[in-house]
Amino acid sequence: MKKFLSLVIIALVCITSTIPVFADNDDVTAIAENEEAIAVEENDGDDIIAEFSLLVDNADLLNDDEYNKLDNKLEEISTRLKCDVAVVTTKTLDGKSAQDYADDYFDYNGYGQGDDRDGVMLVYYITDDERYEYITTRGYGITAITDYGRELIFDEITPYIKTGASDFYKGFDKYADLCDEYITSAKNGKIIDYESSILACAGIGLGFGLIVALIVTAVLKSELKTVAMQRSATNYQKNNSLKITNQNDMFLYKEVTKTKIESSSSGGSSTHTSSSGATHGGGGRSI
Amino acid sequence: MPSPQAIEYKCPCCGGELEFNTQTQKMKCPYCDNEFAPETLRSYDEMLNQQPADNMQWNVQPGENWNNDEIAGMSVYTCNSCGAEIVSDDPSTAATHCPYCDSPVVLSGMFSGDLRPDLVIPFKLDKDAAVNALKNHLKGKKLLPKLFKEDNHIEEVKGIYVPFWLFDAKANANMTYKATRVRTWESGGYEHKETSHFAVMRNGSIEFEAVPVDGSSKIADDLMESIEPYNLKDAVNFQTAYLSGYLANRYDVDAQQSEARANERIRKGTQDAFAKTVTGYTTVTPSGGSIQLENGRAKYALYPVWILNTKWNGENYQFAMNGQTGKFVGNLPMDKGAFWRWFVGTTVVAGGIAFAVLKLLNLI
Repeated sequence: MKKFLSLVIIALVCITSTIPVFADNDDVTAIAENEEAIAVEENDGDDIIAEFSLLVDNADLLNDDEYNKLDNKLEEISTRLKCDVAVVTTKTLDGKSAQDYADDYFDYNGYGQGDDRDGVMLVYYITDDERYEYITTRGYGITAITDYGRELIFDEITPYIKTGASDFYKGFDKYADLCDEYITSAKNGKIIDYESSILACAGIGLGFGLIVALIVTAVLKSELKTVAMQRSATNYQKNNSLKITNQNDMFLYKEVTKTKIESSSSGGSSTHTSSSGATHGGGGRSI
Repeated sequence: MPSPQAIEYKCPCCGGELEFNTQTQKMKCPYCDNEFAPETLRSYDEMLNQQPADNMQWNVQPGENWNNDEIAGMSVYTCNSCGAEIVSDDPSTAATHCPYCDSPVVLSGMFSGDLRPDLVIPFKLDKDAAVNALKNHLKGKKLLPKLFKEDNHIEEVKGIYVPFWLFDAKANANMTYKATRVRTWESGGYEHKETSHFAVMRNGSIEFEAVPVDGSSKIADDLMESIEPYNLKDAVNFQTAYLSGYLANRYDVDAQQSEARANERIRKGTQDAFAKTVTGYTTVTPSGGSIQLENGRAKYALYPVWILNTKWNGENYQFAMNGQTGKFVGNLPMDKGAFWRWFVGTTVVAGGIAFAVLKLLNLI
């Protein structure tokens, strides 16, 4: 009897001691949130890079060695330039457009340094059927990587990572180098952007000059000529002698044409607002 | 009365044959796809066919005959070189050189035969005024050779009465025009342009008075037309007294021959005057019309002209000034060097500015 009672009491104690453990779930979540909060706080104005990684290889394209080398490079660049330069590879876009996926990945995972969340992120989407590259920018990244600059970067890295190629390390490495070069250049005062070619400007300038010269000399030349036949007898019209006795304005037909309005932009970065309300620059293409 | 046959209507836009479209109950052009209401076409057809033919005839009986006393003292001088015949009543004021080509003239006889002028506008401006006018004419012309201004080779300044035929008429006209009204607007990323076409008709009358046509073949018509207009308010009945001190040119183009030029100017004048009444459109172009003249009369008149001749670089330059209004004309030579300097200079300056703007603003 005593042994049975003590067994029951021990069992009861065991059971009741597990209850506090379940209650800890909320605390666990709270702690996780705090960590994230800390991670975000550390981003604001500090030099400490966030806990997450600048190189995320969900598509498993790089081996360990390549991963480490690239990760270190990205961290070095980001620290030095105070602007996150990141690479994310993925096999899914979670049903979103490339733009939304990239912007959201950047915003909701706490990328970007400083109050403006300065950063540039390459998102590389790869499946058996298709591949897509996208670069999203935020904060100073929008300034340093213009639409033109972004296209230049794509032109250089695409040969390594397009369909049929698989030099992923080389491609992403080149991306890191180019971002380094462009952001450094921007910080030194020269933003990589579209510039009119001197030859084209000179050509059009010359054409314009010639036209103006033709007009001016024609006017001066016509000063010399004062002799010509009269066009009509208007000077000899008797005053108030014009009488219209009958008139008819008849509508015949009408035709309507329409032409598309071309919009043009020159230089700078085009921007849009992401789902988190932030302003992002960026663009991408299927490769 | 002819009943309407199977009238074929032509498309006012492209000229193709129109077909009746039963669905829309309109006439449709198979070539340009435009549709027209049948009433519109009938009215348009009437408008075009209503025009009577041109009738620009003149009843020309200008001038009268001379009184023998008047022409008693007048002599005719003939130029050997260009054939001009100058009339003068005073041998001492008569020129010894032809006012047109500067060759010597020869006294060829007494004046007789010709018609007596109806009207004359006496000289209001004298020789000094003519010389001053020349100086002003040469001012400010950037491509005029500098030497031309300095070498003032004004050989002889001559005041001549030039013969003109003056035409008066009332013109009854039936003019047609094609007009368009254009509307543009933007919508849906496109720019839309709607062009409405109209057939416009104006009937009416207009009067012209003293339309001048040069009656001398020796003096260039364009030179004479350039110093127009002359104002009839100073015209007086002809008296030989007005001739003294000046030369007069005999006419050698008669009124009949001048009619064509008068007709052309009256037609254009009518077209322009009527076109001014077509308002409220984006474009107006004349598409035809007919003119009938009423009470057409011609008169023979002498108008005052100062003629100046000058030679430069082996070429003759002739200037003329309207002896009544002072209007001065005459074509001038061009300094080729100055022309090219201006051309190159302007190209460099304008081109340089364009280049700088394009490059700095990255516009292309």
